[in-house]
Amino acid sequence: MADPIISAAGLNKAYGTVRALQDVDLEVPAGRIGLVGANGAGKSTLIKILLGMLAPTSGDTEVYGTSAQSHPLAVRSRVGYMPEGDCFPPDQTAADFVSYSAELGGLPASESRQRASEVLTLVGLAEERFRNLGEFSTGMKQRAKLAQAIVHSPDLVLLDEPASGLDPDGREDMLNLINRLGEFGMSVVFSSHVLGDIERTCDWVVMLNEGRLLRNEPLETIQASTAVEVVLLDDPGPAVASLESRGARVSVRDRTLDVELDEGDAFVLIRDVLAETGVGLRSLGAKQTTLEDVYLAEEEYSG
Amino acid sequence: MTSDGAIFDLNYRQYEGERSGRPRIRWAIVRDGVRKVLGLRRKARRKIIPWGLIILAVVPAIAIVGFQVFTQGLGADELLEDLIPGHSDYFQLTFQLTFLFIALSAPELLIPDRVSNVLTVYASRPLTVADYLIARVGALLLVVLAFTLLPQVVIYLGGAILSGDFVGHLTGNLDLLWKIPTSAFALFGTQAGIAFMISTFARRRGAAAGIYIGFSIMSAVVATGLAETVNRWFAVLDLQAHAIVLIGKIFGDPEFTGGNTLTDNGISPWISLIAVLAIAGLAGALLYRRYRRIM
Repeated sequence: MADPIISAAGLNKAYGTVRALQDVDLEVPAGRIGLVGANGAGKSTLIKILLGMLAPTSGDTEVYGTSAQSHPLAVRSRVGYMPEGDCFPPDQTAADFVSYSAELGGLPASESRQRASEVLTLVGLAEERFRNLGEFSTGMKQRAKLAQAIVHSPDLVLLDEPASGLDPDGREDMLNLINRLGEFGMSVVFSSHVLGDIERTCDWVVMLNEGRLLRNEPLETIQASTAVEVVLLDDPGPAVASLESRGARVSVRDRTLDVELDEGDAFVLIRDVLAETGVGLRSLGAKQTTLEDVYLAEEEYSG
Repeated sequence: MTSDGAIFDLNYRQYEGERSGRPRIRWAIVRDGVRKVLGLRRKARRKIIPWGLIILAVVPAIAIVGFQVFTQGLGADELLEDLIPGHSDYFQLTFQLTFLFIALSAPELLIPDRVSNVLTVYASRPLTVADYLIARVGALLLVVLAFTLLPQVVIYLGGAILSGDFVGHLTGNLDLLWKIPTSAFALFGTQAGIAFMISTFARRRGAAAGIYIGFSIMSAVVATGLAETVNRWFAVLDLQAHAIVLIGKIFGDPEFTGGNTLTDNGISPWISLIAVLAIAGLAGALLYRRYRRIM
């Protein structure tokens, strides 16, 4: 891995008796990083610790090699944050608030105004930028939140559930925007419990469940699979028995089989077994592993 | 004909210029606070109360100078000198206006940020809790100083112009240059400290202003009652009276403190100074403690 932009060692966070994060060790490279987990998995807690907004119970985190606990201001000067909930003064216009957010990020006042206008155009709020934020719809608020998170030109943006509450069109637009952030040289940590959104936008996945780290690796590694998916027309019993007798590992769901073979070509083996047993074939192909498959499997394993 | 074409996406560009340090960021928060308090860049109805109070504070000063112009040369200077309010008298005139102004402004500075969760944005930027609080208090201090000083400056300059010896009047009254701001600080220290403490916990601006006004009135009533019936030292509970005593002391004007609970009970102005400093210190500590938890 190239130099990690985020690292955590022995990270624990407890709220009273509830352990939000448990012994999390991770290193994450630059790029678009998906932070995956169910509600309550510890995603928001991890993000707040990375910003130095929350102190961990034990352990340390570094962002661009700087400790978020010892030097939170140095970390925040390179990071933008889009919180999950609202964070707007309702009586202020989007242009004023985003411009002010830029100043809070250290940009000069004159530059802030210009950049606010550019960023609001980027997120699709050019027409609405002089309207009060209190009059915005959920979709517009999400866009404005993204604008305040990137207006000061951070190296890394932490997005906490940026697509929550959006309709399908709004979600599509938000995911496209997140994809574009990488083009502007920003790394993105995108927290979501919608695994499909992560698959569409991220190249690295950090998977959490009940505060524990389940996976921390490239998306393509997670999705890689050597299994072959076979859908049969008839009773799969004879084919399964024959496959297993020849050393294949087979999992069965109704008439669908996932077949894995350590040595040899699984496709050839399946062809031979079907020919021998006379079981009818509906379809055959490499198994597509989704994040959901992996998450459910990991959850089952760890639970 | 051009040989090469290039498409530039003007929507976003990385900022590569210099970044400001925390003092500039604090100043940005101060400016934002001033705009909030005065209703600038807000709808017109948000401007009515602050600007109404400012007008009420300044118009009498202009009227006083106008009256002096009008009566100049009537040969009744000595009589008029007693009638026309001086600087300490004018503090008495604007005292309640300043009180109202602070009652309405302190909640405006703290409550919306907390209730609308804007604090999350501050917490994600390179600034500390102390930066935020100092800047918010600084914003109110700036506006209150302007609020109290503006009419005083009108009277000061008006007096200088009317004296016929502009420079002589200015140099002859140099003590006012410290007396007026110091009095404004005393006013701010007592009133804003309590208003900020209440705003730290209240969730609605109107409620915070109401609680503050009620609390101030009650403190005067309770202090007077207890000082008369139990022990004179209970007079120190009249929180507003401390600022009045200090302003009277600063201007050396015994009339200013006439009828004051503290003076009537023989409480030393030094006690008032300690009380003002204690209120300011307590408010600072409470604000910091509370905001460390929520930011």
